[in-house]
Formats: sequence, C-alpha cells, structure tokens
Amino acid sequence: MNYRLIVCDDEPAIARNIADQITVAWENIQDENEQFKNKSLELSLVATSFEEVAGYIVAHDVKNAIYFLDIEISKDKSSKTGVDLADFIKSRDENSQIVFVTAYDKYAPLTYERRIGAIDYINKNQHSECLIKRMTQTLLDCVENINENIDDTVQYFSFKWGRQYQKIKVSEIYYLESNNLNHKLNLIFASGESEIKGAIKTIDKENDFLMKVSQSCLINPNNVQRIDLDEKKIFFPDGSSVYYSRSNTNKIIERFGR
Amino acid sequence: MIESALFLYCLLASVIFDGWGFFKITGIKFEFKWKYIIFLALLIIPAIGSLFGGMLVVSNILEIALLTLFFKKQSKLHVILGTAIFIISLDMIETIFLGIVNGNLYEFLFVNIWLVAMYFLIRKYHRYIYKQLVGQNKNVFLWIEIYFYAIITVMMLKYKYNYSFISLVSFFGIFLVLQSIFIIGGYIEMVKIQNELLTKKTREELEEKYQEQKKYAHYLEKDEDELRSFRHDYQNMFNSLKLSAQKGNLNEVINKLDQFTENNLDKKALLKYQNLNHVKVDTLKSLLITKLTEMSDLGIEYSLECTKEIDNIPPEIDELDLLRIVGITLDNAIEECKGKDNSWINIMLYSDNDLEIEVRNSLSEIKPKISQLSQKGFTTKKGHHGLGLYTINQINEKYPMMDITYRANNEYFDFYLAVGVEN
Repeated sequence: MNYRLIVCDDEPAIARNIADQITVAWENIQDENEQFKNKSLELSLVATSFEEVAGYIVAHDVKNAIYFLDIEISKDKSSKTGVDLADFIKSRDENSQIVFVTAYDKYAPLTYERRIGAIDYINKNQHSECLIKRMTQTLLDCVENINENIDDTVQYFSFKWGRQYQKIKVSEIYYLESNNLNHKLNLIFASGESEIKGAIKTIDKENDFLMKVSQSCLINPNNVQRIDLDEKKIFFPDGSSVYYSRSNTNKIIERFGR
Repeated sequence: MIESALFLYCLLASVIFDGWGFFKITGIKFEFKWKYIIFLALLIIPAIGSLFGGMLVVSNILEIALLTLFFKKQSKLHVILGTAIFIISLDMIETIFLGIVNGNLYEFLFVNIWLVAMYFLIRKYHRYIYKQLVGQNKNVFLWIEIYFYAIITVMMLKYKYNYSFISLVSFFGIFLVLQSIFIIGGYIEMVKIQNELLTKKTREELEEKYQEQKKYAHYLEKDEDELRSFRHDYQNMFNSLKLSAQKGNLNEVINKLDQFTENNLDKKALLKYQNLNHVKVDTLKSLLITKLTEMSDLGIEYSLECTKEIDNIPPEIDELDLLRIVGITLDNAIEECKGKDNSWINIMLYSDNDLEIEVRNSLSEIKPKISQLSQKGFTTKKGHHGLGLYTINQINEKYPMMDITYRANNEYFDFYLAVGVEN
C-alpha cells in the first residue's frame, strides 16, 4: 500500500526540514510495526505556495493523501492561507488527511473543524525528538483514517449537523430516541451523544441496520447488551437503556431469541 | 337666634376641621403653643369676613398667608402652601353646596355630613396627597391646585353672591384667561420634568458605557505585567544568544533556543488576546468579556476563536434571547470546569451571513445523558434550579431557523448553535 505525502511551508528550508522529519518518523513506524514493512510513504511534493500544491493535486488527481501544511503559507496577508489550501484540498479529495504545522499551539481548531473537517495540529517549535514522536502518532492516525475511508465494507450513518454532514460508523451506533422537548432526535453512540434533526419514520425507512422498537425509538440490534423481558427494557454497553413497546415484543423475541 | 348659633357652629367646626386636616396632611406634629391661640384669633376675623362675600377671597388668602408664616420652619413651603390651598378649596366647595341647600335644618345636616365625609377622605388619602406635594411632579400638582382654587373662587363668587359687575361675558372671559394661564403653565412644567428625566437617563447611559469601557480595559490590562516581563526575557535571551554566537558555540545557542521556547512561548498572556476585537456587537462583546474574565479568575484555560468579524446578529433572532442562551451556556461550562485541574473551555464564533456559536468544555465525570440535561429541574449542581438547558430549549423553539445541538463524549461536552444557516 502506497501512501502519498505533500508538504507545504512558505520557507523552503522549513518545508524541507519537515519533510525530512516525517521521513524519519515513518522509518521509526516501520521499525516498530510489522504490518508497515510493506507500506511506503511517497514524498510526492515539497511546496512553498498555495498555487504549487493546488496545481499539483489537480494535475495528478491526487486522492487519499497526507498533507502537512503551514497555516501561514505566505507573508502577504492578502494571499491565500493554509486554511484556504486545506479547504481546497478537501473539496477535491474528501479523504485527505490534513495536518497543520504551526508556530502557535493551535489556531482556531473549532473553526477549522466546522469548515474543513477534523484537522490535526503539530507545533513546529518543539524539540526535534518531541516533534518526530508527535509526527509518528499523527502519521499512524492518518493511515488508520485513510484505511477506514477506503474500506467499502465499513458502513456509515450520516446526518446533517449545523453546516456539515457528519458521519459515524454504523458499528458504533447504539440507538436513536426522539426528544419530545425540542422535536429532535437523540443519537446515542459509543463515543458520544448527539442531537440531530429528523423523523423516526424517515430514518427507519432509509437505514436498514436500524430496528424500530417503539414509536419513539430505533435501535441498532448489533449493539444490544441484554434485554429485560419483564420490564421491556433493552440495555446497551454504556449502561443506558430504552423501553420497547408491547406491540414489538414478538419482533424482539424473534430477533434476540431470549 | 338659630341662625347665629348655626353660624357659630359652622365656624367652629370649620376651624377645627381645617386645623386637623392641615396637621394631618403636612405631618407636622401638633404641639400646644401659645402662638396657636393668637393664630386662631386671627382666623376669626377672616371667618367673620366670610359673611360678606368679597371678604371671602381676602380671608382665604389671609388664612393661607398665616399658615405659611406660622409653619414655614416646620415643613417645606410647597407642602404648607399646597395643603392650605387644598383645605381651603374644600371649604369653598362646602360653601357652594351650602348655597344650594336651603333651610337651617338642612344646612345643619349638610355641614355635619360634609365634615364627616371629609374627615374620612383625609384620613384615607392624606399620605397620597402628601406624596404629590413632595414628589417629582410637585410643581404641576401645586399649579393644578391653584387653578382649581381660582376656578372655584370665581364660580363661587358668581353663584353665591351674584355680583352684578361680574357679567356673564366677563365671567367667561376671566375663565378663558385662567384656563390659558393654567395650560401654558402646566405645559411648561411638564416639559421641564421631561428634560430632567432625559438628562438623568442620558447620564445613566453614559455611566453604563463608562463602566463597560472600564471592564474591557481591566480585561486587557490584566496581564500587562506578564507581557512586560516576557518582553524583558525576550531581550535578555537575544543578548545571551548573541554572546554565544559570537563565541562560536553553536550547541550553546541551540540549547538556549530550545529552553526559551519551552519556557516562554507557551505563556498564557500571549494566548489571551484572542480575537475579541473581531466581535463588533457591543452587547455580545460585553458578555464575553465578563465570562472570560471569570474564567481567567478561576484559573480555567480558555480560548476564543473568532476568525471573521461579527458585525451584527442575524435579524431573525431577538438579541436578548441570543445573549441569554450564550450566557447560560457559558455559565454551565464554567460551572463544570471550576475547581477542576486541567479543565478548559473553547469558544468559537463564526459569521458568514449567518451565525455559528460553539462552546466546548472539558468533562471530569461520567458524561451526562443529553436528554436528561434538557429536562426541567435536572441538575448536577447542588442547590441549583436546573433550568439552564430547559430555558435554552424554550427559547430555541421560538426560532425555527435556529439549530442547537449538544454532543458529549468522555472528554468533552459540546454546545453548537447555528442561526440562519441554510438547510
């Protein structure tokens, strides 16, 4: 498996330096992980401007690549920044993994998350050793994300959340419950909870993996931990539970057999 | 004979009642003094004069003057004058009615009924009358009283005594003049009061603006010392580096640079001035300053992102509602974070023909179940009412174009609000 790397910083010396450090980090990963021995990280481009990167990825139709970008890629305030570049890259390559290499700690992480998607940050002012260690972790995350995205067998449940469409792995979803107070739905999954817009009926129709257990609740049967037939409660790994309606009792027994 | 007796009775009753009414309204304590006897004696004269119509007006004015003279030390001029005129006006009305009633018996009855009625009236309303005499509108009230008295006097003179030289025309003429004087005088007084109120309001607004500026300046100045010391360190470091470089000791230079980066570039003071200047909505800015200062005081790490200027709040939503939501959200975040180590709060504001606000705070305990949080009365805070998120939801329901989402995992709680974002 071949992973592509693109680095961009307006100072050519720094860009070069980052590229070198990433190479070292990759070699460290290969030393410590058997499964990485046959994977390679191809340094596709070391650039110093927005136009260079943009031109390259359009010309070569780059997909699923890893990008290390400086947030301020030009001294000129009016020209495009690393953020603009990240935006551009994401629009052409949805699965691109973007890492901002910055001189501050983190610069507007929430803003970027909303506009471009999840972004990682590396502080370039660290000790060389610390920096490489940090890069190692980052690269591992990038590789994992790319693999997941490429994998067709992994199903996602996507929903609109503010400006963006979010997606969560189906395997992580526990259940959806309607919230009477504000006419939204609560989506409960392994790593969190979210309020989303939608109707139980529509979502049930559009998603096969969900099972309707009452007027106000859809569950993912694969994540059910146990069932209490007497109290008509279904329990999930995080300790929460939902009630199912009498009319669905047969369906429950049929599915779970207990 | 009976008439004289009746007259005397009326006189006495009137004097006593007037006196009582006067003391009751002004609130002056009645202490027996010799001068009161003299006062009473002096009053008798005008009272007798009231027998002869023309003297009535004179006697009234005399009464007022005497009262003012005798009591001006014990209360304000306004109060004495106002009360005197009030009492005398009542007398005048009584006199008018007496003119209608005929026959000694009926007159006697009427006087008694009138006195009793007035007694109860003054007993119930003396406080209210006093308040009008000392309140903001005291001049207007006095003016109205004088007008009222003047009208009654003219009417009374005309009606009871029917002086021929006050013909109908001149009567109405005088009436008209009096009306005009009243209206103009009253109007001038009202305008004066309005201006006073306006000045007061302007002053209060200026004071409030001043306090806001002070608060902002305080927020900005809080770490001035820290910045100064940072600059000092910076200069020292450069000097030291220069020395090492001159010696040709490259390793020393690199070590010093590493050390300096580690120690200083993370300084909180540098991170503090974060984008608050991009918030151009004064009320929102003020709220943020208050909350950020609170976080700073509590030692909670925070960051404010506002990469695009926010000039105004979307017109679809009421400003006060939005401020309330933001206020509650920040309070909740602060409540969750205070007293806990390594707690943090991240705030994001973004505006692009719409408005997005996000508040994310660290969690230290098990993540709360979101549907529970929105319920009225639910709270993890001791002694609190638990109305926060419930209130937010209530406000949210008013605006279909407002979207609020909560998210929580084991590390943080996230609040996200979007207004006017196209779906």
